[in-house]
Amino acid sequence: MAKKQKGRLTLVKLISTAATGYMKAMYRPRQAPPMVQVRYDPIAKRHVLFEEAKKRRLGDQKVWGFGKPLDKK
Amino acid sequence: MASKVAHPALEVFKQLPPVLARFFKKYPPAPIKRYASKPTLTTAPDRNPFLLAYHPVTKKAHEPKVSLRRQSDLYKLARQFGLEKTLPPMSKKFGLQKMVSKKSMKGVVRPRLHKHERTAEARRAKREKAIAQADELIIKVKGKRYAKKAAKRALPPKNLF
Repeated sequence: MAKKQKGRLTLVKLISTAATGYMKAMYRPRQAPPMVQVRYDPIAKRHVLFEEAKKRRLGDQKVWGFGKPLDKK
Repeated sequence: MASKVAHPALEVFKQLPPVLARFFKKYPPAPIKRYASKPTLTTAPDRNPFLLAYHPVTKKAHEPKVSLRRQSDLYKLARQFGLEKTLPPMSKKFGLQKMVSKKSMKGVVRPRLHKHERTAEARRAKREKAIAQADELIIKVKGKRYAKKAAKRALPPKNLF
């Protein structure tokens, strides 16, 4: 049986860095870099940083350069 | 010839229930005979019938002559006549003495609690520390612009008039 194809999006869990346990889940493109957001934490009663709870396997990251191409010297 | 007058204690002895009377006949009460309060050799003259005893040659422990069940019966019977103190010393305790000597359970002395109760203080401290450092963390990720914004936000509101 063929292996099941993985979807384009993946579910990520954003967890409050205030150690309150408050979290938010959202869909992100599988290849996207880890997400960091400033959001309101109702337990801490203020805006705090939210980070992804779990490490993801990321694809090859495209380096955006607007100067000289990196491979040309 | 003058008739013999019975000792008043003997009159009391005759009124005792047969179980107690038989016991006292075999093991005379306290003022007449003293018994060891600790295990002795089986051959010791003050061997306590309520305690175990060791064989002098084999050093093997011999069971008490009177079982714990019968010790209780004898004690309760003797107490009815106020004779409990005349019995040989026993390891068993009764009434208030028994209640006082009872070891309280570990869980009663120091309850284990639920995990959330045990870790509450540590989690609270961790949370407070993290909240105190929240601004620093946001500035580290978001840059100096956020720091400026945060400083502005911290100022008291300006009144127009």
